[in-house]
Amino acid sequence: MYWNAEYPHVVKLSIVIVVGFVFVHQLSSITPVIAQPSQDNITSSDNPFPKIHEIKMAGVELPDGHTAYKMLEYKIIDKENNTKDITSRYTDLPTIPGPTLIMTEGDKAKLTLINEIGRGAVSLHTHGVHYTITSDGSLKMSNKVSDQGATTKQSYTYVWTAAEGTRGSWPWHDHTFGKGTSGMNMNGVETNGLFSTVIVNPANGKVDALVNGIPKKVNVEDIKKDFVLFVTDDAFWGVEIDNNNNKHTPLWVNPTLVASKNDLVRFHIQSVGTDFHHFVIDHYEWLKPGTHERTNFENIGPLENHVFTISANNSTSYYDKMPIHLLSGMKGKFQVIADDTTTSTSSIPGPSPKMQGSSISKDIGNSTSVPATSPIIHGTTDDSLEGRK
Amino acid sequence: MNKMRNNNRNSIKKINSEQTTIISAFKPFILFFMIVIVAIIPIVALNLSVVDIVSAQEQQPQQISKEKENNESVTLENNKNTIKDNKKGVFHTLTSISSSLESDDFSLSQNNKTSNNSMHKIEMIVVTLPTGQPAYKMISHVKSINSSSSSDISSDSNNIDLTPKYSKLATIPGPTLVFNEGDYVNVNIKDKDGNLINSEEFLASQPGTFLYIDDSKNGENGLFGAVIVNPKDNVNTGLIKGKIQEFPLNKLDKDIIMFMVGSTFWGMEIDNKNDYKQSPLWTNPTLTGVVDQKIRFHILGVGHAGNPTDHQHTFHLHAHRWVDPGTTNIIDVKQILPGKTHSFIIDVGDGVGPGHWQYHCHVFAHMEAGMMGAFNVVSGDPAINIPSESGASPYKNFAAFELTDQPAKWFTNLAGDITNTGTESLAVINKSGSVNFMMSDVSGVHTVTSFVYPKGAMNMPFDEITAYAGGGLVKLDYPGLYVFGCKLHPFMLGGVIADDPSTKGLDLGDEITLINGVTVPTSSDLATRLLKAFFTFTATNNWQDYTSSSSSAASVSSSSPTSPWHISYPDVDVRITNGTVVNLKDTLESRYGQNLTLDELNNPDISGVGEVWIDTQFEKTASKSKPGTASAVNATVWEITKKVALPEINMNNAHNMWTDKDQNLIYATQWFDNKTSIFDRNTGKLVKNIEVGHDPSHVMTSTKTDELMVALHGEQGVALLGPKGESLKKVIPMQFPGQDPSHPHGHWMSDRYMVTPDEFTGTATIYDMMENEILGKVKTGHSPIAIGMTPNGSKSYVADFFDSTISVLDTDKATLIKKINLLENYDPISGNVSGPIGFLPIQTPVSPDGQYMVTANTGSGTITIIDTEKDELVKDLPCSAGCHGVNFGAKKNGGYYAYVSSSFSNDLVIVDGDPNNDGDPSDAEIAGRISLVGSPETQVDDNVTALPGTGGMGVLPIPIIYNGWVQNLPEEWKSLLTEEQQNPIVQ
Repeated sequence: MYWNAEYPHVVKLSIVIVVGFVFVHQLSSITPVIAQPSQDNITSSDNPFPKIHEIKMAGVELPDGHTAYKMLEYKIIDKENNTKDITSRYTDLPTIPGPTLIMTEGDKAKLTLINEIGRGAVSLHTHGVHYTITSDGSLKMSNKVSDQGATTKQSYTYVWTAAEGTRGSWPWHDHTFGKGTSGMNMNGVETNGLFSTVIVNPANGKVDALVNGIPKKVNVEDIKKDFVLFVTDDAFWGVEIDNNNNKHTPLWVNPTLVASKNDLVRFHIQSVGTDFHHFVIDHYEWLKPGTHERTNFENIGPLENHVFTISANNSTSYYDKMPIHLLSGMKGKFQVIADDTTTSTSSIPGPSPKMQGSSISKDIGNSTSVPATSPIIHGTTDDSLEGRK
Repeated sequence: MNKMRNNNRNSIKKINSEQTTIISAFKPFILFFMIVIVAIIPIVALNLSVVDIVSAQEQQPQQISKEKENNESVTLENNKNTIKDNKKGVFHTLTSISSSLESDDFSLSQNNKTSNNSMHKIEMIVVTLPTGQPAYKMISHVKSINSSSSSDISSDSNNIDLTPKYSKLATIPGPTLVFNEGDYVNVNIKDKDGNLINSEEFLASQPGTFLYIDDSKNGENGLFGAVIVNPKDNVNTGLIKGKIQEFPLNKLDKDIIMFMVGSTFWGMEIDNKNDYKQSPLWTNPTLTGVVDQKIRFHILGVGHAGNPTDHQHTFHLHAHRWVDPGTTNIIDVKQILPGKTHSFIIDVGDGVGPGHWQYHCHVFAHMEAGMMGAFNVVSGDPAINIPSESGASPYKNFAAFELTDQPAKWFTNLAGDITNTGTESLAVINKSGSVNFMMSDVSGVHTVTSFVYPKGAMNMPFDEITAYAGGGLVKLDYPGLYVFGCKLHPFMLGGVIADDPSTKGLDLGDEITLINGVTVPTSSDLATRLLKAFFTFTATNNWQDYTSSSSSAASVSSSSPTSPWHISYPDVDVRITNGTVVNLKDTLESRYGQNLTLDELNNPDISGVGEVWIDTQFEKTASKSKPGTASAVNATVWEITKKVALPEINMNNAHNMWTDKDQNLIYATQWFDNKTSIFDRNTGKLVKNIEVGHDPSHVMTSTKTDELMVALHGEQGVALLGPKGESLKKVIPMQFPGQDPSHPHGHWMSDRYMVTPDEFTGTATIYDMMENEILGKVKTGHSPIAIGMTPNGSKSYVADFFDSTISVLDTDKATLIKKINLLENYDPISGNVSGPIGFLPIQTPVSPDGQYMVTANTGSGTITIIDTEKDELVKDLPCSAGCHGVNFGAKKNGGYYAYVSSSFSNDLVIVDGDPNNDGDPSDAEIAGRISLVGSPETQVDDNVTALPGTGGMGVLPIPIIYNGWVQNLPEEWKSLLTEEQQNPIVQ
């Protein structure tokens, strides 16, 4: 098979499964569970340089009840078996959303997750790409095969194939971590921060864009910035990927997105939670995904995604127009800088959850004080409703 | 109604012009396309509320009037009549909408008819299933080739009888009606006795999948189905082997039709390899496919136009992708709104292989409520179909509850009152049966939470971290007693006994575990007290009635005798701890008595000052479908002077009140809705009705700015409105983003701090209104529900509802000082009481002079008094059934009265917490007890028709005499107060 012939280390992986060999792992005390690799062939001839992504991440808990993914190690192995370590593109902090993974149709990924929460099982269930049932990242009660989360005792490895027909920006999230406060039906705690995105770029390297009002095919490599915005029940959580230096920067809550004038930027609007949202960027239009139809809003529900590429033309605001959400502060700025020689074009992060300190959930029953976290977001009345009617 | 209709029509036309498809081609034809149109109305409404905040608010009155009209024809006091009437009315509203949409392009559609198309003549009936759910059943479907009108059907050889393709049962969903583009269709709907309910004809001129649904809450409870119109070219676009391509429909192996209803999938399967036979898959089925098969999925959103919250879903199938129709976008999640449909072809197991792949709604609360199933992809011969496995069905060991806004019927078993006690909230199934919940008749958001379940039971606890619109489906494997409830409105209860038929008596189980984790034997006093509470809460005939039996609407003088308190218990044998079998009625009556004499009404000897407003939340009036009035008591003469029902806005379950600094406006929260109403205190006239967010519970004003702070119980924060409710300015989140939603209920405020009881997270949040930030969060007991505060704000008290404790906080430091156990003098096993007790505490204000706190305990029907110096429980006093609300008003010539309301009664208890005024509350006593039933002299805006004076919740004495507010009073109010009352903490 193409898969085995071209990627001999994967054959080794299969052997590991067969003989039950203990996989040599960074954390020697942890026994890994490795899902079987996907058996399908890569038929996407458009991608001449399919790559293997070897990724290690951890699920962690933050003091105020948030959970988050943290990047530990990211290597890319090309067809000639050259390995490139790209871990430094990511922060070593846990982030919400978790690390954004970027693949191209034809690529494969092997993701190992470890549990640093210290209890339960944390997993990684992805949308969009191909994987076999053992990489579903769900509970045995639903997949009938196994509990596919990383426990404190063993990691879990997932294998994905970004096969032809999986292009898009797909959310991935926890699907196993129960909290005990809710019942057996808990299917993960995606609402507390265990969510992120895998971007699967099309094999032909081209995406639709609305450039200065004109629909165009543009090259993915010409996109200067990718903005991932997760719309949750009470905030936007952002990440910026600067394609000039490949840096991934967590932007946290309701950030100010910054871009240079006329640059191509791609928005990946994602959503988790219970609520539905009405996403708007004032004074901007974009193409509805998979069409040449223009739009200036998107009604988005949990785990839908909405991806579009535009040219940064003027400064404005993005927000959720649902009144309860907007009045709760679900909005941010999109700043377009004309003169990027004197001004930083880095986006400006919003408030982040507390990273260290005492936790209320760990002190149940005791006389506890929970100091305030970093600045709480409030709905402000400054520029809110006027001019947006 | 007409206004709303017109509005909808305009909206529909707008959609037609913008979206071009679906509707316009069907205008002249009636039945199912009218259904489609009706089903689209919620989407239209949603778009309106989304697109324009201002106009959405303006449209609220219309929505309310529509809702009111929807319920107008039914008898509100008799749920059985409601169901019956609605059944008679199947489709009737559709017809009226359809006639209003008759248009001039009928001829165009006539021209579309080609001689090659078929004529379908269909007859279906409406049947009631064993669960009480209504369902459609196919009686006959005859297709004739080459006919052009309904009269052409005759028994010639061109006729094909398609009836055998359908299930012989009445099913949920109803029969899937499959036509080809251009077919002509005639459908008759009859009741079970064969009486024609509706007859419609239409041309299937538009390919696609459409929802048909009864336009009442019965639509959501079972009367819905799908119409599939296959296109002339007989191909659909699919993602096949990773490529977007046209796929011939005659090569499809199956059609799977899934309806997203509340928080449950209901399914139907068409086996294309077996003469297109239809099989009902019932609830959350295990769909089955063979690798490489091509299955067309149809996902339909079910919801009726009268439900303003909508049941919105996102459908997700693991490991499979498809093309979003009309685009080249590849997706694996799609939002499914009521009336919306989504069809796509799945290349089974493509690139992923076999597996028990989960499908589910990706709305988080719906996932928690069990809205999921599996797509079992197996390897094998794709030429051979494997039938899907159906899920739990209403024909076998199944109970169906509908959630409503109606007093006592909050969880209505659609099978009705099965125990002859008056409660419609109890179901009995065998173990391993399933229970379905539908929020089909509510305007707000709720949860479905297991308050009580057999110790160790599977699938328990059943709960959601946030309030939502939807429902739930849960399998009860263990025998025993289960009580489900809404965490926001904890008197909303639905009980299920899962019986083991092999044992004697209905199984209550050995032990029950309560929502706060406490486990007690079913023989214990605590268990039977909970049962007593269940039967009291869920049947209005079991409520206390202080009305003289002969004159329900007349003034009740303080000497009138009242009827004894009778609670109807089921006369059944139940199996409890250690397999003991006892009669439930005998046991409860022997433990708690029967026909108890209620305390006599008597006016306090000393007058109060001003007036006392009580939200009589369950009182029903003639012009409203929703319950609730605000009743005013003249505290000088103890007479009911005013009742405000606000029929023009159908005020829904008014719960709590406050007033502006001039004491002229009453702010009333609609706890089962999303609005806060403002009316004139003197005239009772509506001033404003403001949308603030789901389930607003309590309201107070800032002592500094007179702005309103409205706790949004169904949301995650507190709404801030300008003085006199001028506008909704912002919503203050009570948690950092990503933390579990707080769902605050009854906050309290000082000059600087607002403290919210975060009912879902078990915390109290101290919010600093000066710095505009959260000072801190303190872990409290389970389900903190209301806050009391000392006059200077230094100490806050949190009533922990399910733990029956009071958490005492240092407000400035945001720390817990201590917890006061209100059940320390109670033995839950024996029931022995050795001192004052309070079970399930709710409102808990501190006296304006700071000396003591008065707490209303709804479970024990007691009023507890806590000395705030030592923070110790010093006394309890008898309250009434469902003791709930407390607030302090001024006593004439000095001192205070605590006014205490009760939900399942119609009296108001007046407590004098310190009769000798020595600062020691150990002499607290009941000063009087008055009826909340109006008299002919009472000023009303709507006539009271049922449950007079009941539902006592929020209490608002005017003038407000708490520190910070009392200083702001206008002089005419101040002059009625003593020097001490005007300066409560300068002593």
